[in-house]
Amino acid sequence: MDFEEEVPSLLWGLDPVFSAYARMYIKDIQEMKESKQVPGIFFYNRHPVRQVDILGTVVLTKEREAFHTYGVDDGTGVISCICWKNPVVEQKSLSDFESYPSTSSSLDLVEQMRTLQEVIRLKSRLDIGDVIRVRGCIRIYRQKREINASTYYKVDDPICDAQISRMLELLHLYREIYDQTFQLPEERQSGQGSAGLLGSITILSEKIMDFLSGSKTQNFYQQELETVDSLVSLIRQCGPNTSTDQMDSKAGLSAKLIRNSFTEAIKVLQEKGAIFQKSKNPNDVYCVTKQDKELHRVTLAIIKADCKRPKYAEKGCHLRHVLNCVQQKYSPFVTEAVIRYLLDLMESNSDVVTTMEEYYTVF
Amino acid sequence: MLPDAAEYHFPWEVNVVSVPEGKTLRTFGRLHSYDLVSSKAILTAQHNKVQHLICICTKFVEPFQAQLGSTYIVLGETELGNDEMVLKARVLTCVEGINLPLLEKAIEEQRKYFQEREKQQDGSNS
Repeated sequence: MDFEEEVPSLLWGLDPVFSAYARMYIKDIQEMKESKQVPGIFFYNRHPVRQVDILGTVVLTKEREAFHTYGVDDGTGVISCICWKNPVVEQKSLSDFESYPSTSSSLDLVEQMRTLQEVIRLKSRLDIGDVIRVRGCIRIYRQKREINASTYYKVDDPICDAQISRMLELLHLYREIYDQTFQLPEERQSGQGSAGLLGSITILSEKIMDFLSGSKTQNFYQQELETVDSLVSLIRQCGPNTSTDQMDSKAGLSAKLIRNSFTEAIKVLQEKGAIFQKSKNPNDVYCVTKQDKELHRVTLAIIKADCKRPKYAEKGCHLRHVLNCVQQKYSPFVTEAVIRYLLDLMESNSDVVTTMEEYYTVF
Repeated sequence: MLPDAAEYHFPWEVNVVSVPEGKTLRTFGRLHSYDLVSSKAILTAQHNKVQHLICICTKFVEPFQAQLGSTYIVLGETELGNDEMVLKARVLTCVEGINLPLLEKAIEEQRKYFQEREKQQDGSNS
């Protein structure tokens, strides 16, 4: 599978395959494309693979001073595995333990150490025909790929159970994970990267505003917006191009997507001051600043009253002063953005007049 | 030098017609006989009421304990000798007690998967 562009390395960590020991067919380990950004990382179907986990039959053994090379065959491919010798087991002979004083309790310990050593020795020395499990990183040595084992051991598989279940397991892993193209979360929402995401949220927030003023809505719940077809269909358009093989998860995915998009768009509107809440709970009702007659009345009354006071008579009331008063008289959750939005609106209706920047008065 | 990958073959697929000479493969069967002198073993397998025989050359895996009647998995290269196909075994493992139907299913499923994948790749390339 050829993909025009590699996922940027900064985003690799978002793919769970990256931090897992990917259980893969050796054939794929041999064939997948190496990253151009970071050598030693490979791509299977856009999934960055850093470390792998294989199980197979040993078909070749070579011993070096510090490691064994095992050729492992899983029925799809063969790969060399560099399996480092365990220095503790290699250097210390069993007799080293015999010099310890032999009280009854330490005797047990010595015995156990000996058993442990024996097990490690047996599990880490393999012959042709043995079944081995290896975990490690892929590296390229003399133009050939090999696995530099971080863990390896001989698998006792007298009736082939481990191998058969591995074969069956891989099928599921491939079909459900590796063969599913990894989509970055932002692509999932916009299909065009982060710029597109921001764009589509802005568009959605504008459309929500259009809808709210068109229907003269005074207040609403987020859930109510999510039932408006014209808005939801907008998300579907700029949303992900859900392919057919994701059909079954589509319902769940798009519900989540719709919820997130609306949450984001509402946040944008709140920051603008176009809508506000009288509490901190996002599930509570949202008020539309433009349509909130009570807020208009209160604000206007504040400015009218205070502009008569000598302190404000000349310059008018500062925006923050208005904000303070509104918060006291109306709702403590009204933000500066809302007041700014509101005063702009009132000014364009000629309800208030700006005397200088951020100062308002009435005639 | 690494040997070729030994793909699973069903015993009834190991014959002169369907497998080229020198092909690395693995298969399985019941050990029918073993001739120590000539280093020849015969595995048998039933498929569709037909008995299939596979000749194994055991030179590379000797000495081994031949348990007649037990199931073995064999891995090696095919070789043509006297009009019949002989499998030169590199690995010959007794797996008596193996769940053969499950193994067969796993092999079939794996093949199916690779076929599907190839088809998809061909489809996306063309």
